[in-house]
Amino acid sequence: MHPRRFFPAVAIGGAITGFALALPIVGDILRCALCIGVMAGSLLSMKLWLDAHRAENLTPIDAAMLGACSGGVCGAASWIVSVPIRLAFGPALSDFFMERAFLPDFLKVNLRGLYTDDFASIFMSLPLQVVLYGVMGALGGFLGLQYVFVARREAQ
Amino acid sequence: MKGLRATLAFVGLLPWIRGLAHRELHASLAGAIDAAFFSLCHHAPERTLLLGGDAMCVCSRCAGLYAGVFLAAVWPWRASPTTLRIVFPAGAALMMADILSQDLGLHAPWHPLRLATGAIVGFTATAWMLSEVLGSGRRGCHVNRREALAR
Repeated sequence: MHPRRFFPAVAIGGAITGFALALPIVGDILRCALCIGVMAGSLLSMKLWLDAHRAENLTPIDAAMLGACSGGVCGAASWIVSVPIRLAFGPALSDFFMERAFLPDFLKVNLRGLYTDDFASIFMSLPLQVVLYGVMGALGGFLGLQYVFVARREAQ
Repeated sequence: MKGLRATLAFVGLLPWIRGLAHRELHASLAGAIDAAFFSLCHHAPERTLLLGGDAMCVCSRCAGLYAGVFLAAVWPWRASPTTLRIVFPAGAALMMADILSQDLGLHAPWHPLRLATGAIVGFTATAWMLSEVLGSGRRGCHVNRREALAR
């Protein structure tokens, strides 16, 4: 199955997850447990696609491909949302968060890492982020078909 | 298929390259790797391994998971999907037990256990996905050959 067929669903699911992951606090909660945020994005995309194609099922390869596309979109969306925040308010936001006594240390370290990159790092992180999220999304899509959407699994 | 394996191996190796070669890497490239991984992992200092005095860009459990992804990608033998269907949930259950016991304060974060549980989950999930993809690829080739012979 051509990956283009998944696109309306993966664009919506990936973009929603990417936006949520880029937000401070919400994103920090989502990234607390492995890559659960990206994998949840793959599941959301898969649900959207399966709901829109009730007569069709997915093979494990299709599921991995759908998840990879969703992960890639999620990485790109997360990058796009975070770039203006990083470039415009990076150092100021980092200082602001580092001075807050009520925030746990891990959150401060995480926020500092997110908001104080130089432009070259931010630019180079886009392809890395897309590939990284794509791989995690593929695993999420594959596992999602095995455990969550078992009834829609097509025999190969 | 080689492209998929290469991509998985690259992603699995990336945090380790960043950790082991941090002084040789250009600062911007190191920053880019950090930025890509920072948005996927909590990076809590007490749960992160130090390599050469510097913290890795992912926590020790994620480091194990990525090492598992790398090992599965370069593993030359194809594991049976039936076996992996049993081993993966067992590994995930072991990891969940460690996460819960650690977060409930029953024990302090212990890097070898975090690495091992992450590696089991990363390895089995990736090997399972690869074995299914490889299997269907072979079946597809077989069908194509039969169709070609029939023509």
